[in-house]
Amino acid sequence: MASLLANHTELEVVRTKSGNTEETDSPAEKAGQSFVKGTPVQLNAGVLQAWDGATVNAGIYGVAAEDAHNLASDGLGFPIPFNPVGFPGTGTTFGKVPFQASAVNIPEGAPPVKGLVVVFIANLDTVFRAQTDNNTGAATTPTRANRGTAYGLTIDANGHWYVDFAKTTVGTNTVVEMVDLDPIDGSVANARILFQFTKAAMQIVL
Amino acid sequence: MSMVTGQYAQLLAKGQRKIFVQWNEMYQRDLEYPQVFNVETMTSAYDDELEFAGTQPTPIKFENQSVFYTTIIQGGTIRAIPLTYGIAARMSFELVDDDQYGIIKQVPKALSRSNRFTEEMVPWNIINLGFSTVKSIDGVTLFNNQHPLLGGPAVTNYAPGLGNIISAAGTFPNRPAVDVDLSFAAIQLMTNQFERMVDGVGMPVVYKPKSLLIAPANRFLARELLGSPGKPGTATNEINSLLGEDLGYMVGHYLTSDTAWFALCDKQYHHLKFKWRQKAVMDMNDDFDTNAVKHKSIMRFTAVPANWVGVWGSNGP
Repeated sequence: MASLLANHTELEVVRTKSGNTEETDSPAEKAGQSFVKGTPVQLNAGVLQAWDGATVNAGIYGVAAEDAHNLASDGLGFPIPFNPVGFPGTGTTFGKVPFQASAVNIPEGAPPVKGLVVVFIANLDTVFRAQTDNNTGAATTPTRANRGTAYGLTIDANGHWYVDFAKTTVGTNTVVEMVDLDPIDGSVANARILFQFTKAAMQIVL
Repeated sequence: MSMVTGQYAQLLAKGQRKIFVQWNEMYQRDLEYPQVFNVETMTSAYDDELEFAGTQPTPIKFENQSVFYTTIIQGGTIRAIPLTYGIAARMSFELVDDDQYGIIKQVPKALSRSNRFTEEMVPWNIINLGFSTVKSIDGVTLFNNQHPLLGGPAVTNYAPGLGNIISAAGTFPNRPAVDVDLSFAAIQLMTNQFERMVDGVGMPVVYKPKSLLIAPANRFLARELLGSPGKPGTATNEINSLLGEDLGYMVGHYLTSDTAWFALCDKQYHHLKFKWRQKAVMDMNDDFDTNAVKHKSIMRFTAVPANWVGVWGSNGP
């Protein structure tokens, strides 16, 4: 069953409890990733990939601050210590270079790619925001009474994740805990809510 | 990480006869990479550099036939992305206040020294890793015995005398087919490759190596090879034919291999580049709550082998 909405706003950081800048990391990106900004991500053998949607215990490292780059190999270009960003420095190329099979044409303005993804780390300090929905298609209207309740995350048809009010079985399908209503949306259908990742869901508890 | 009095108890009382402060008294080497790399500045998040090869050699125009039309050849693109390097130190107010020798106040000098090492090591690793991971504009390793030419195999067919130089049609080397240690014969091989250098469409071009780049362990051998009046290692009367090549040598103290050695043309003829996005900026502040002192340094730069021409390397045997 699909969610009520086909598309949702992306997960984003709204504040930290401490008032400090949110904790970020820049791990190497796994090859072939195509996730979009705001996707929950996880480390797999040291490289970052989209969260599998199933590992609820120590399964989420954070939320991607940028789109994935569909790298040809794990961490392609990632700068090792005392080295610059490696060739080619972008994932956007065009055409072919005559007789130079490994060379690339880079169009002007192609986004630079460093083989890494900046991640807002899921920790006990960072507060995120996402839209609510229900994977059964039922109407969802969060209220203040939902504060402190644990929910799961589900991906929609457009690659965006929402807080799924159909997932409420702690230890089985929950990974976030509602902190508050969004001060702009309030209590309306499919409103955005503020949440934190649960300690159990955090891949590395910082 | 804060520096606090308990970590430096001996600085809190007078009576030390001598404190050997390494970052003040062990002198760092003068910067070496500017002797090798072209140092530039950049003003954006990245720099892209392109390459073009010219038109093919002029063919016959037979009677009453049209002239032959041709095109220049666009090569690939190489991108230089600066990275930010930063380091900081935080010391408690009490430590700064109680240090009887003024050592703690000199920590910013140590930070500058840290910057200097990183500023050196990054460009040097372009060379150190030029046999394996560092790639040039043609997408192959910086030092490679088969750099593909933009004109393809046709150009090495008509380019004069490449038969004994190249390992594959349509390519040109800046590395031996089998890596060799620094020696009289190896330097001859290197200079022969430079003498036969062609551009992307197979036309001979002038690239004269001016300097060998060697690890410290090779400096004695380099002196002998480049300085002996007679042929090094022989008891005959032959002259040292390498003297006519007018080669110098530079010891690179950030080279990691004792057996790898390199040859470089003058800087204006090669494309190893170091690009400053922002030179090191030091800053300091007092933390309002704790009165601790914080020193910070930030710099942004990158190094890039924008092209392989004008440089040559052998990774020892």
